[in-house]
Amino acid sequence: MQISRIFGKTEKEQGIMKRMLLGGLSNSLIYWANMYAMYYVPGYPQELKNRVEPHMPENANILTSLAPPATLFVAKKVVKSTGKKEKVGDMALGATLYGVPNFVHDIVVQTAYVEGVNSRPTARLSPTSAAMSRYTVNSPQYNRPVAAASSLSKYRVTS
Amino acid sequence: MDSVEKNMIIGAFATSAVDMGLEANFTYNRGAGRRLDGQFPYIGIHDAIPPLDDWIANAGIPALFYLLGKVTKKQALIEMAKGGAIYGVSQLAGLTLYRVANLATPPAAARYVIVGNRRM
Repeated sequence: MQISRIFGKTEKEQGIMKRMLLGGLSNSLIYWANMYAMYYVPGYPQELKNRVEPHMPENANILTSLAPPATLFVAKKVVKSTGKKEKVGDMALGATLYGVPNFVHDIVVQTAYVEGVNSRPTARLSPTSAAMSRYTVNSPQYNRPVAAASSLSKYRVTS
Repeated sequence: MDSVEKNMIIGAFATSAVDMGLEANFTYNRGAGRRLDGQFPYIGIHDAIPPLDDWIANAGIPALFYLLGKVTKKQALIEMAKGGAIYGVSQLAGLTLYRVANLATPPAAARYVIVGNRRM
């Protein structure tokens, strides 16, 4: 079996599938290149690292998931030649097949993380006077581990 | 949108749903202070290659759709497999490149990394 047969039976089908895969791959490359820049490039803009809401992914991740398919759909509308319109449309669908599920994926994963952090028991930092604590070990809370520092829980005592 | 496109979108979302289920389980536990690294299916293969759970979701689900489509002779399932494959192949390719780039980054640059909650 030829490997190209996986893409489709006819040459037209194969061409469509290849263009869709190209759309998906290019969207993925943009997304992951941005992810790399976000964590490794020192002057990366803070606005793009921020989140609209704690359950949402970073602004840059929203942009890099949804902007490429949107751009390609606009390009499809703008292009006048029928052949090119079809080709750009195939790439736009491929980019959508990656971008939209990836966007939903990011929201669900971020929400799960936030809920995980919220599920931790909150710290009970009881006020103890010096007189009370001088002779008695009455605050086991001080021995509890503090959550690992991350972008969300950096300043939060969660257990 | 025709039925082929709909089936492909269903396939991509089904693949993504398994991926997000596994990933959400990992990150929920990480948020709660429990580490699942090394436990099935969060088993690392190599530093440059995505872990097993990514392969199960992104390669396994489209393959499953494809096999089911071939066995039951349903074209819709094969179309779903193609949609899932576009999502899965793109995700695995991007993730692999990201991990390779991570490995290639010198430690001096990595000193300034802000580690997020993503598992990559």
